[in-house]
Amino acid sequence: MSFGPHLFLAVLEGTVTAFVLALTALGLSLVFGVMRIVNVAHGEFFMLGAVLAWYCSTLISGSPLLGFALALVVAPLLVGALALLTDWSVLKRVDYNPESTIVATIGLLYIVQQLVLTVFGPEARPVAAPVYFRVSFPWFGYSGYKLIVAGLSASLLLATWYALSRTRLGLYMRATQQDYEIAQAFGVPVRNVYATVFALGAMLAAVAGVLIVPVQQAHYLMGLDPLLLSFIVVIIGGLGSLKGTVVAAFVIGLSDGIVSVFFSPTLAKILATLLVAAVLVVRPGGLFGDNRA
Amino acid sequence: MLRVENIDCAYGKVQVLRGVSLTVAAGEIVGLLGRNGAGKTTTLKAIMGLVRPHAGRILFNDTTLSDLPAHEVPKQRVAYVPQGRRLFPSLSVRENLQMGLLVNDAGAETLAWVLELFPTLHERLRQRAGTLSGGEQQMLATGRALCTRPQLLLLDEPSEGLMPSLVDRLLDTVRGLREHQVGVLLVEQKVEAVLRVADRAVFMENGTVQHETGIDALKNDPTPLVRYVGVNR
Repeated sequence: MSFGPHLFLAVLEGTVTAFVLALTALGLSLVFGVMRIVNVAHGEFFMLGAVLAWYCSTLISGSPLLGFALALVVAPLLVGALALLTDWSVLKRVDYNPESTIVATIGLLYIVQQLVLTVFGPEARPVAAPVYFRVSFPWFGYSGYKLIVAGLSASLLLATWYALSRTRLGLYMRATQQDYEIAQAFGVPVRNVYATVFALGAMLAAVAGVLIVPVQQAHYLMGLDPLLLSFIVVIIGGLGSLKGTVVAAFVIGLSDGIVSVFFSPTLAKILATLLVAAVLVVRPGGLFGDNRA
Repeated sequence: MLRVENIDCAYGKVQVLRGVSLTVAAGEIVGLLGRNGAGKTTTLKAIMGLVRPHAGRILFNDTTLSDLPAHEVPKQRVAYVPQGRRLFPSLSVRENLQMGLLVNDAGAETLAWVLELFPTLHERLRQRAGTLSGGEQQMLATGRALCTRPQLLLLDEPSEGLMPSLVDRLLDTVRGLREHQVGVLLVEQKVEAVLRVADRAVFMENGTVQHETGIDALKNDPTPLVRYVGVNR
């Protein structure tokens, strides 16, 4: 294959990665932005989404499409419920203290990982794509499912944007993010907002896991990479900024796709990390974050 | 209408309020005066439920405010204009007002009333609140509180950093609330402002109420001003 089509393929791969990454990182960014806590277990919500998708696909073995549809409903609901339970049983108890939360979510990370290892096992398990067709370009054919992944992610990002900017809950989330004390003085039940945000963030990650599993296989350790990449995206994009998260996901996703195709995935990670350092030097609050000292 | 009864408040182990009691009647404007650190702001925060009193209680009409979670207090029609405005800076002017309207499901009528009080906000509805000038921010903070349709308004240093003509506008607005039977508890460093609008003055020192007096009595005998605020008139 000559350079042009090769680059096109890399951009295509990068775009799909970017959309899924944006979805995963958005959950982290919301939690980080609104609640000011770092959820180290965010990647495990992603992994749980993928593992639950596998269970759904075995439950309905005849039709991959039905299994996929079931997973898209069941996985976010179960993972959201787990997040609510975590909020109530752990985060609330440590009063959302940033340091304690980091330690507590590290604990949650190991608990979830070991539970999945015990129940699901150490193997990587494939899930059949819900639809199988190839989009043929003049130079190569490309997985139609991956394009669907990009499309679904984009619609979810749009839906999140709509919810944040046009609904009462979204307004309350943004108000809480900016001044939680005064938000209470305007009738915002901030504890409920926190619980909702934590659950929503987890659900976004779970959906991303469901979407990715036909491409990547379900494995109990698969949460680490998306967690690290999400952190990079959130730091580059700026805390709690949806626009920043999407832009940064594309910068990271595309450069990762292109550099991985032409050079090596390791170099891609090195460049991404350098990029974080560079952004932090110039704009400590991230590209779209609050940069007032 | 509002009865604060013997409240004690502490930040951690530091006690800041000791047995504070005060009342505000409907349509009455009460000035709360005292030096920095006397406990004025904490008193307002305690009424809003943002600081929990560990003794005493706060009654509003028939409700015990001090038993409610903070987010239920504004629904009892108590509104707060905090010190330093504390707007939601990244939200637009309209969204800031919306935050007030949502508290008691007030509608377009209330919004129109507030925009009539502060016409400059009308032109800036789509602008981010953080980009407003100091005076406009104070108007927005006051407008946001009025959007909750309060029966009691708590104002913390509303004249801080405003030019005199704006202070006049603001005091006129506060005085106008009396006709709507709104009670006002006004914390102010500027004694002049309190003397002009208030019916009564309450003086605080070291977390306790030291003195209460009618405004006319205070105009005749300003010794409490010298004693508790350090102002010579």
